[in-house]
Amino acid sequence: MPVRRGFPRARLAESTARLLGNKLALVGLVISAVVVGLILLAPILAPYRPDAIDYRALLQAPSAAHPLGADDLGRDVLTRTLYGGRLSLAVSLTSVLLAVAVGVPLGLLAGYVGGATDEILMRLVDSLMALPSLVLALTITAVLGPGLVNAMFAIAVVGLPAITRLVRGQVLTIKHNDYVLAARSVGVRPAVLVMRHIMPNVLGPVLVQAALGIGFAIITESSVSFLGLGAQPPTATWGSMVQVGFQYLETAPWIALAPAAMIFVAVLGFNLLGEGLRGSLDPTSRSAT
Amino acid sequence: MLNYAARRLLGTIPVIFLTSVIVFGLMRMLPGDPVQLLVGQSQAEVSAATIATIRHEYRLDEPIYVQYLAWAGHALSGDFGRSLQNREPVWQVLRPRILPTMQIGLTAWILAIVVSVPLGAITARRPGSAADWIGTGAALTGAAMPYFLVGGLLIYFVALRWGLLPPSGYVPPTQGILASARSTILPALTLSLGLGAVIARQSRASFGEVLQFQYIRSARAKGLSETKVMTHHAFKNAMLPVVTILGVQLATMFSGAVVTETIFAIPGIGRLLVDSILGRDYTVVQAVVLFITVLVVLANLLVDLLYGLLDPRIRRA
Amino acid sequence: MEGADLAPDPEVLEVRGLRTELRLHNRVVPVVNDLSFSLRASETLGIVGESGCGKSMTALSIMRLVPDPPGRIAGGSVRFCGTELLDLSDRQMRKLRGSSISMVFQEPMTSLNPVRTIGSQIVEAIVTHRDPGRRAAQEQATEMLRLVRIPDARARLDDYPHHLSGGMRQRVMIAMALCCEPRVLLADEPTTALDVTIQAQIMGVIAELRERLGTAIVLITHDLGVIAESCDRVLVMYGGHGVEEATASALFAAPLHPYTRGLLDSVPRLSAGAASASIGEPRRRLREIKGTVPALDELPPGCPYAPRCPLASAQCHAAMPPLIAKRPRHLAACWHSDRVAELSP
Repeated sequence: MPVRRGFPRARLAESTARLLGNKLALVGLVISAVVVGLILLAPILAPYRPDAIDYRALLQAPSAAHPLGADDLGRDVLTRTLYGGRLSLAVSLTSVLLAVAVGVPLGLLAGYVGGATDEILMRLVDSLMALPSLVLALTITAVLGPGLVNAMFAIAVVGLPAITRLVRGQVLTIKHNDYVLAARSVGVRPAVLVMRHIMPNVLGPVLVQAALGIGFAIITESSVSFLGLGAQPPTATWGSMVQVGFQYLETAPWIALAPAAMIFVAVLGFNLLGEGLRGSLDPTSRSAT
Repeated sequence: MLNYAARRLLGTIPVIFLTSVIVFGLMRMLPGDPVQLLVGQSQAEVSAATIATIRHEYRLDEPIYVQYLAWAGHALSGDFGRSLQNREPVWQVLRPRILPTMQIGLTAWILAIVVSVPLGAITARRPGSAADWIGTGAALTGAAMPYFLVGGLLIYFVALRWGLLPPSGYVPPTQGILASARSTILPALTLSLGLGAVIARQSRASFGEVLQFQYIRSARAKGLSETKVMTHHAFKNAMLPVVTILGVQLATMFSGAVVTETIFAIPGIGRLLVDSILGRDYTVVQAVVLFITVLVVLANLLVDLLYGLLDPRIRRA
Repeated sequence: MEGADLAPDPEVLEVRGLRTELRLHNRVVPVVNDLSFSLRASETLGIVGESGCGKSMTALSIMRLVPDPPGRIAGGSVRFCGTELLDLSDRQMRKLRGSSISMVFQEPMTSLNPVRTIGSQIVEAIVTHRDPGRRAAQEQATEMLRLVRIPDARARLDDYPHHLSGGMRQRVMIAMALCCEPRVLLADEPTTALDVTIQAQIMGVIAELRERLGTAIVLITHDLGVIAESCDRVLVMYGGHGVEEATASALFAAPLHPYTRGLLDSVPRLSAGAASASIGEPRRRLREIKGTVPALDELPPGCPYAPRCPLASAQCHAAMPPLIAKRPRHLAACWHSDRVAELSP
């Protein structure tokens, strides 16, 4: 028998209506959509190829030919920013998905089973959370070796404990609700119970956390790459572009500022979206609208 | 109260233990033979016997749990072994880095609190007003700004274009308070943005909650001015949740310090971490990560105890 | 010369046509609707009605403590000893609060700041309006605690609210409210959250202080028993309107509004049953008012009570009856006051 999908139609419609009414989420949605759109349309929008070297345009300031200037190899900054975004975003999205894919089951397990399993898992989670996020990410990347894929795994690991704890907390609360007890008393098997009754209610906060997690992942990936442990040349993400750009901060600030500004806008968009989602999914939380 | 403190202290031990195991384990997974790396740094020809001696000296020929116990044992007495890069005792390498990080971190934190707590209070007073939108917008913007954007902008304009402050480098207070302050302002400002954004959020949430309480209404009914209501009644209660995030703030500070110190070329703990990771100096990495973790865990503990002091209802428990 | 109506005590509080509204979900809801009443010195006026009828909002409006947003005083007049309160600046109003007009709230458990001592909160009330030294203020605070009959008053000053029981906390609230000897005390359901036995004590404390200080009291409650025992005059509210105002004895003896009649009938009475019951006679069912209190944003035109009123006529549904005197010093807002007496149990 197929498992029923988490969101019944009516609830989805209601949530969407509330979402659209929530100004914060709307602004965030628009910003994120614009960023994602720009990046996806990079091949169409970009005036040059990202690796097109032009020795005549070294460190050229923003001009008609190069709207955001050119870098140390004469490559168009606008193009590289757009293309760099693809990697940055892909890495961030993937790491969040990974964190959710692993964190949700773990949290469900810890919350539902309880006992020793819960204790051990939570101690591990606490230990991981004791380490500052970037420190942990750097350390894991160092262990796995520098590289973008490894950085992605590292970010996923850093984001994992938060999701696990969140889900566990939700499960603990829901576990005692009457409808769960009712289902259990009728003899519903634990696996079905978890999937059909508990998990759909957990998805809301997880969605919020995921949206906020994308912003966090973007910042972390760019920081790791900025420090030289993430994207390795010739791979270019926003972070690694900033790293290169910092060497020319005095003479050609646009090289660093363009990708840095894009990071800011993208993170802002996703954070607003996450905050807005939180506001509309949890009516008791107070937000600016 | 003492009971509460003792219990909390005991509770931190398993966390520190587990973290040290994780850190140690991670380090052992670093690719490359550390001895080869070490030997590779020096110019002289090295014989197999020398390599074996070095391996024995670093206990690398023993089973891993023995290595861990040896390391942990030494660590408890402050001996973290020797740096692989320059063979100095790790503690000697680590110690001078503490001051710059703490100096900048503390300055950043104070800046953040002074601006963000009142900001949160003001935005909580009138939800939905213009002040609220501006304040909340500023907080959200601050949270989204990566450190290198803020730092980069500050360096470019304040240091390079206008020449007001040095773009990089650190001057310890012993070499002149003013010079030291000038070298730490920009990094502190950069760091304070991330810290401040979180504090503002928290402050707004807790003031918002507190202002709904009945005793606020009682205070107003007594004829107190709004300012007095905020400072004498709302503040203490609203501060409680803000205090609880102090531990998290310390962790954030370290994460921020890593990037900030790199940008501003500050010889602090964050920079040390990056340098030692890039240089495969795993004894140093181990020690730094453990040091940071212990500090964060202790900070969390301190926060819990402080909370007990501030809220008389908990003191009794 | 006869002085049946000797110059009555001066009016300390005069409310005329007070209108307070709430802005909710883009709609404006009137919570206090054209309310008028007055209060004389040393008098106790009870305001009675069910939850949601606007009694608390009335008190908050007088104090100008209506939370804004979402609330707002839309119009009318509130005169305190001749001064129009609604015209005062915030600063001027603040001077009056706590010193000339005080308020006691319903929830003693949460109305005191949990992280500050009792003493500091009472002293704060004192020093906000007077300027004794710290020692003197503490003495006064201790004295107030004694007045409200809190044992071991001096030591209590250093206690925190959570050290005290609900009844004690309410006494502290009263002490705080009366420490500057206000002319008017607004007591919003001061005993509702307390046990019945404590209720009596608290009402006793209030009565004692009234004797001593000559304070005029507005006592807001939904408990008719308290009204009967403590109030000189009573104002009945329904749906944000004042529907009847009279002396307590007149109200209980011969109400002129169907709602009041309904309220009185729905009070369970031990004596009635005991007096009429004999072995074998069935016990009488508790009388209730049919229907429910209307939501304030769904009030029908005309008299708000009409949908539930046994005497309702077409006129009642069409037009709101004015609150006018049907007998000397007995006002009612009903087109059919003369028929209320028919509604005997």
